[in-house]
Amino acid sequence: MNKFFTIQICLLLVISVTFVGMVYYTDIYDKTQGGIVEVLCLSCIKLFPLTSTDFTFETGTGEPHPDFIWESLRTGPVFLHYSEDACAACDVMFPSVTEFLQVKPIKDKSFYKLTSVDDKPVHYYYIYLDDEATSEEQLHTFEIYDKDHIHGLPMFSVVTINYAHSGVIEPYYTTLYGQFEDTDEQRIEFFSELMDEAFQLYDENLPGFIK
Amino acid sequence: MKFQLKRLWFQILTFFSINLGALGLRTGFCFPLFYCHACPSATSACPLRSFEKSVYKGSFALDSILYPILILGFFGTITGRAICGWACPIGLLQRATGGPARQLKKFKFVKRIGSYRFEPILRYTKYIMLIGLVFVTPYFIGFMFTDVCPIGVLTGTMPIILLEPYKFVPSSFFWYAMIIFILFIILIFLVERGWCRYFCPIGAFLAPFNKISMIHVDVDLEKCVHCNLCSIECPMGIDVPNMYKDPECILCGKCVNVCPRDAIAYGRF
Repeated sequence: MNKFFTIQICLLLVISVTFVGMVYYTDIYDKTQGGIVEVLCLSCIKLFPLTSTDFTFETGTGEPHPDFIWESLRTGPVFLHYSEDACAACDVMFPSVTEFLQVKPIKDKSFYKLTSVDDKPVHYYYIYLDDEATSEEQLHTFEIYDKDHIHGLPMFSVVTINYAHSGVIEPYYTTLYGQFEDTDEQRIEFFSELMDEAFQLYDENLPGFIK
Repeated sequence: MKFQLKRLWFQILTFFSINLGALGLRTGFCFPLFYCHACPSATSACPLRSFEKSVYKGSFALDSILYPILILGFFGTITGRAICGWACPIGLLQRATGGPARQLKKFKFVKRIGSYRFEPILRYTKYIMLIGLVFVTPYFIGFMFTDVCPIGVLTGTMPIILLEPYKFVPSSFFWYAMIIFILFIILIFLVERGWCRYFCPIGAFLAPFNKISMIHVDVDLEKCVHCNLCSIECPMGIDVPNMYKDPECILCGKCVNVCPRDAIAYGRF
């Protein structure tokens, strides 16, 4: 019995030390918290968020829009595309977005390109939440543009500008979540209509915005 | 009976503690039991999701696979499958359905379900579920278990639909998951602890730890008179007098309580 007890204690020690070591020396705790616990797993709930293209001024967290968005908006609307490891719906939506915007990001690396749609400039930010190289500022936009507080992936935000009630022209955005439409063609059509609206607002308000 | 009341309190306490996410506590740990992190009030991650993510479509993230193994291994080494009997909220649910399941045993058809010769073989299904649906299919095809998981429906989908009914629409897996969920409900009403016995992948992971765990249930064969009261009482349908560190034992202690000769007791180390 003593021999067996020694084995049990050794096993428990090995497990405990490895566990403490993992939590202390690796980012597994943050990875689990940020990648599983805090992100709504759409596959687990077997539901997709209702896609609403309504634009709004109010950010998900109530914080102001980040600097890089303001800077980008000086030359064109912004398309933010969020993804993460092991996200089935992200994989489905990825080709539609890349084809629509004529961009070629690597799936697991954050990426930026000033691209165009109908010869109009669009700032495309592909924000991969599990890419260590992604800046904190970009990662935080996942909260800022979580319009409906869904916190699910994939997530797409289109930021343009509009005349706010405050009397100034401010960033105006909408966010879409999860997987929608059935085919790539339908999704491209959907994004195309959304971008048309974004361009229209952008063109109408640009003179006042640059001032 | 007092002992079983203590166990009930422990289960209820665990249920509340794993739902402290409602108060904002969202940790980076994995549960050592079956509960969905998609539940709006869950505090931690489902270990199965971490397993699935670690091997998704040919990838292999050693840290994500080792992390839940260590958490489950820690509790498994100390208590074996006692987690199923003492902490798991799905165990608590099945405790509630255990009464009706026993009543339904009066019907011949229901009684037969648990007495077929293949019943012990059916218990291996959970190991197949663990290896097949949690590791193999995510590696080669993609998520399958989480897409249809009945526990996800119960603890994730349903609370979300109740809390935010206008925010979501069913995905393509929704109705398949609902069918499986209905079958799950039928199962736990027909067979006492049917989910734990046959299908729970977490139970499958913890089961081998019963062989080496520090706490287990021992039967003193010299005292035993083979009245079989313990086997009748056992929610897992174990032949208690003939068990030795049985992988199916959830250490609920019902056999300990019911034994008229005190031949069954918790053993340590």
